[in-house]
Amino acid sequence: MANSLNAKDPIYLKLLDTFFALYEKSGVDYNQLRLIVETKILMDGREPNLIMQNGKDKEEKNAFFSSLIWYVIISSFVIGALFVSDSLIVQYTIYFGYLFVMLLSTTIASFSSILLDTKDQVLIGTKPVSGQTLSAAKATHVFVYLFSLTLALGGPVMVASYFINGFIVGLLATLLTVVFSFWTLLFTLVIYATILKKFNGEKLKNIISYSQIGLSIFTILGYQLVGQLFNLIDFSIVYQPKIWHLPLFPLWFAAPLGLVQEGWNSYYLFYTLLFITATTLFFFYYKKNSAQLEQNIQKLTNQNENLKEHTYWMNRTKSILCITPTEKAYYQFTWKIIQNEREFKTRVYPPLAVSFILPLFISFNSLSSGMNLTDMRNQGFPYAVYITLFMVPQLVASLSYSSSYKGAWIFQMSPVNNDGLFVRGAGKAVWMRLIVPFYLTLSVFLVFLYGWDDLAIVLNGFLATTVVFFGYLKRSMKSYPFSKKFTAADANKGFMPIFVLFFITGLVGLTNFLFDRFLPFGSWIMTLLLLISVFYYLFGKHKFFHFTQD
Amino acid sequence: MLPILEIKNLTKSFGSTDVLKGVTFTVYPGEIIGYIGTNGAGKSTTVKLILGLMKPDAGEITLFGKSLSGNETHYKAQIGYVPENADLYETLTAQEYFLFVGQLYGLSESLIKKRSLAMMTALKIEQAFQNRLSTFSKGMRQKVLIISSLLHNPTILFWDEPLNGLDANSVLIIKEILAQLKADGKTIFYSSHIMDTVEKLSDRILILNQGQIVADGPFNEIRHEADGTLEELFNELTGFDEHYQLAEDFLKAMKGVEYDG
Repeated sequence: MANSLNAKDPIYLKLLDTFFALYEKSGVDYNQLRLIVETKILMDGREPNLIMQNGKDKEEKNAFFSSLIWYVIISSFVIGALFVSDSLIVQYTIYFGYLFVMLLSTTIASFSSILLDTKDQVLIGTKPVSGQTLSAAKATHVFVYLFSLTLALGGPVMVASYFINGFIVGLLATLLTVVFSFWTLLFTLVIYATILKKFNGEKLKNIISYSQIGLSIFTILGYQLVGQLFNLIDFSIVYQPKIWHLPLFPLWFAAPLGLVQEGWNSYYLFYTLLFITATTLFFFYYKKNSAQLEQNIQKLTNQNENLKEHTYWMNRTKSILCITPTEKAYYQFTWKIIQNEREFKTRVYPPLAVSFILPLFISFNSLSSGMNLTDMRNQGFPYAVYITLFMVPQLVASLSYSSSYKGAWIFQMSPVNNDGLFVRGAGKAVWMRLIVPFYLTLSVFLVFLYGWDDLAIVLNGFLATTVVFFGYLKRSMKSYPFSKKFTAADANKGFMPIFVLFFITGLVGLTNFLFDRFLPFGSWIMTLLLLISVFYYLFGKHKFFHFTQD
Repeated sequence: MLPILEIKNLTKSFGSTDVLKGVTFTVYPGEIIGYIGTNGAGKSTTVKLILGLMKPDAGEITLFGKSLSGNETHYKAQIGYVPENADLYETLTAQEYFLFVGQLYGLSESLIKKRSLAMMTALKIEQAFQNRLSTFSKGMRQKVLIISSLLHNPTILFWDEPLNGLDANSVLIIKEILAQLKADGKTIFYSSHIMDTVEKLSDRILILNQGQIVADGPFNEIRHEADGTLEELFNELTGFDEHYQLAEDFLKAMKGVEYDG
């Protein structure tokens, strides 16, 4: 091995070295793989900075790893809720459900860019590196992150398992968690490999986007369904198998633990076999197709088809929302970028779709468990629209990044240089193109469900999202939109602010609730107040400023 | 002598656009081949197909006497490649980039360091050895790519517009390097838009137009079709004689009043 004896090697490389034989056996050149993974993770930690003049680099920490501590903290809170039930199958189905949501959504939104990188084939594929090695290197690169994330998320639970459920269960839970992390990666790879094999051209790009959105929704739905798996009968939780439980992966992984506690049970055995078979099948399918996968990724670069331009809606909204020609230009620019850039869609669409599907799902979920609409209204279910506030930080953060970040020099060159207006114009385009249509759809469903009486609440949710979006954008945007390169290390940005958002959401929701209960037409008064704020953000005087470039 | 590279009836299309429509040519060891064509004629696509980055729709590529299909990786150890649009991993320093690329070829760390620093010194950019590539000028990046394509002492070079962004003095060095590599028996396949250089440097010139080879031979042989420079020949073969008119249209558009409002 080239330099595995180097004492300064990061832990992940040392761990990787123990799998040396496994890689070599699978036809992968391990030394090359190690080199690629090491270099890639080094690069992830460095901010691409076009302006930096002296190239002496201060060694930056990879922001991904340092952000993991937050996940550890969150998961520590989860423990409490998890071990309430005595049944292992319940505990660990919920646990794996939680892992599944977090891991898969991060993989799709943040690591897809690694897996689908088109540049590697030119820079590495032209060297004597086999497609299989390159593909394995990318997968390993992602797995290093994914596994760290798994440890951060699952660590507290795994440790607690040893103490609460004994050594055997603890060990089994640890083992299953590791396999689960691996399984999530394989699952994603198999889906991408299949799509890239089957489709071509513009259609391929669309299908990639749809599959990402679909997977994210599936994850959330799956998680919601996990809660309905078990029936409470005589104070003990009983599992009754149904056919629709089959695709709920978390159950597969909890099944071995069910076997340990409850003894022989043909269903649990079946699920256990299912997860072993699926993992093995995925692995061999991926192995067989990995070399081809790298070549097929090149299909994403072929852009010889003329795109059909739909500009009607953009032009209409542009003239309504923007006052000055400069703002119109920024609006149109942003609209086009977010319309065309695949990477942007990958990062934004899945979480966006989830945050809008969730309020609906909560409603349907409660309906199907026997509540009626009047109960739900009285219990404040329509306030679920406020959940949509949570996607604001992610939406705003993603506005900084672009795959064509190098084009940002033009903003500095332009004689019409009003950066505050740029941020607002860009914000308006995102608002109009993404938030408004999603919200409209959601509102239609909610109004249909709860009737016109709660229109004010739904409307307030929309206006509050708008106000928070623009307010947050104005505060947090510290550089030109689309001027940074997105690396895996940025994956958890926009996560921290969610804590802040928790309070804001609670506050706004509560205000709305209090207004509604204690003032006549309270909700409508709030609508008016919010409307004024929206107008302020959309059309009010904006600060004239320039971004300071360091 | 056996050919080092043989291409027969190569076709490739993207969607409904046919980029290559049956390209056929042969390259012998020790030749310098200038591969020219208009923008979008399919030059880079040809090179990418030879390097196995894409699969051709039809046709056959034989390199070092072996068919490309089923011979995936090992032949690449003997190839030096300079990509077309100066793609690099920009957050790495020059040294780190060389170490990365060199090690992919299986070279040792100390050899790469010494070799690349010496090569950078010869190209007069050694002071930037420890700097990040994102701070490099276009010419410096090009030099880095050229160095990284030669670190492993390859037998055949595929250089896609190697002179891009280089200053006149650097062009002189690179041309001399190419001449001496040829003297060492290396085969060089490059593309360029600088007709003057291609005319003087190449043993043979291939002109690609609309996905087909329209001229193949030493400049002296193919020039009989036009009694002037390669540039004139190129213009003629690619059916281009309206530059005066187009330039006028262009400037009229810039000054023109009819587009106002």
